[in-house]
Amino acid sequence: MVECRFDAGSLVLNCVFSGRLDAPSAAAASEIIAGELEKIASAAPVAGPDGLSVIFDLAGIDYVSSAFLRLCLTVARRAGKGKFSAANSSPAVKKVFSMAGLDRALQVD
Amino acid sequence: MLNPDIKTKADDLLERAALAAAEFAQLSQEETDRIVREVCLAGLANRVSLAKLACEETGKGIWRDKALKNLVATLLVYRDIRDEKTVGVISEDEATGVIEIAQPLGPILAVIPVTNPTSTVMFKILIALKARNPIIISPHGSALGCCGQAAEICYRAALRAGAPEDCVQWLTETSRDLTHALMGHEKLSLVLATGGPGLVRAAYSSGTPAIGVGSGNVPVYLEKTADIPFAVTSIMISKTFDNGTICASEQAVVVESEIEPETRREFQRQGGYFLSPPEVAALEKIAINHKTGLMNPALVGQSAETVARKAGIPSPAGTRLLLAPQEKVGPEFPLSGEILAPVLAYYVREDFAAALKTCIELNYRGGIGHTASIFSRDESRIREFAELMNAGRVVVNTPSSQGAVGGMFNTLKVSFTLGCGAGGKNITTENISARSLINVKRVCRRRDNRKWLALATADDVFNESVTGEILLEQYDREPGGEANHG
Repeated sequence: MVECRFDAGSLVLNCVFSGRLDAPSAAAASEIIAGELEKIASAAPVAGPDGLSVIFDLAGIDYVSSAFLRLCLTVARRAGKGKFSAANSSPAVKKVFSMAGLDRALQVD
Repeated sequence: MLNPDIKTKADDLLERAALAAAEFAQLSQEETDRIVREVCLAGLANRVSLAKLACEETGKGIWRDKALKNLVATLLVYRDIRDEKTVGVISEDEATGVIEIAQPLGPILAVIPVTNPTSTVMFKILIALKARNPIIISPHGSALGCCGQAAEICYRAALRAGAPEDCVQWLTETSRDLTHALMGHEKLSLVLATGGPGLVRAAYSSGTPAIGVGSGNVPVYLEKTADIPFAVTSIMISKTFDNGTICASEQAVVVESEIEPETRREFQRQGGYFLSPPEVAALEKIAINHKTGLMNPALVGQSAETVARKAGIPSPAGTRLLLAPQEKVGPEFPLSGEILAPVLAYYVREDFAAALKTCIELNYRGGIGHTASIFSRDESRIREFAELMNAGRVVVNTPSSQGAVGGMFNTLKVSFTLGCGAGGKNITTENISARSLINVKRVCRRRDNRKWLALATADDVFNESVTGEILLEQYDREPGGEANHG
């Protein structure tokens, strides 16, 4: 589903997804990521001019639900402009982000 | 400047719909069809309660007939579209080398009329979901409750079957500004507008692709070979159905004088009441808004007895239909226009030519492109009538309301959105269905047109003294078909 790794040096939270991101999976992932963000906020104050960046690694994904798209939006808004990206998407998944009008705003690659 | 609250509402609705569209586009035909089936079943299960609610809320129509409309809008529509391919490859032709692939349009705004509220909601939801398009329902202000309930029933069923969240949304209040904001929103893919001319005009002017409808002023022509009892029965079935609220219902009878006495007797036998000239005048006073020339909304969907009472006409008990003898067609004859109630203008004409002309006048008086009806056993007359009517549907020996909707007395696609073509200021004359709501892309394998290649490289092309006839002859003479294997 999702495994998160925070690099305190570069202040990057990397979330690697797997499986099918339907609504229940997205909800579960949302809780995990929310927990990670809370941990980071309390245990490692985000210092420096650039703050926290979040990367969603979608290499293992072939289906994304609207619930997952909403999760991306929520996390992107929390991270701030330019501090969120979705990497390693398949062409089909990239198209889904494009159809939703989100591929540029979320820096989907 | 758009009210910020309205803009926020519109943005929120379309953002949700856009996300739903992105998810929906990934579903397979099987997954999509499962959703459509569940929505159909849920609508069917609630056909009576929704019909009663629609009647109570709008004060129009007959609940039993609305239940039948709900049945058509679910069961018949579902069966009509069930086996259609609307996902992925929908056709493949090795000879031409063309593969057709279906793509959804994206979010659709569906405007719903007061006359067929719950049935149109369920119909539009079914066809939108079959094509994998999320839909936003915009009900008429007098039918917010029943439309909302119908939409919610469909939505819950769709979700249970695995549809994306927000695949169906519905407005819970009416606001012209919100509707306009939605219509023109950059994330909206289509406006599916069933309503009056003003609404349809707004839809087409919004900048978003639109499918609209036109008003009807259906002439029904009883040609002299018509089976009169059958014709009158059919007209009664159609015009009294739901108190005449279907736009495709007959608005005027045109009967040849040779069969007029028998026709009149048959109408009277079946509960038709012919108005005297003073009674016609009394009805004219209240049937039409004399400023706009359009029908009085207070009469829409009321029974014949109620209409008669409102006009101060003492019709006999059991009157099912009011027939108003008329001489001519035009604004000075208000009853020659559309009235969505059990009221029919009645014209007697001496022969086929005269009858046709009156039908044309009626057709062109506010009904261009909609529907025309004929009862006849003379195939040549039927053809001639059909050629001359400007109508998307010409129904033959059939109740017009049910005939135009399709699937009950003919093989037309079942639809509650009937295109009226250019004359009606619409983009199509079709009965709108699921296939109207997909974009088709065509993958084209190379198939050289050898005739073209031979001609295009010939010197004659660049010599203008070589005539068009010669070039055409050369082209036709070249060996090979126009789509050969490469």
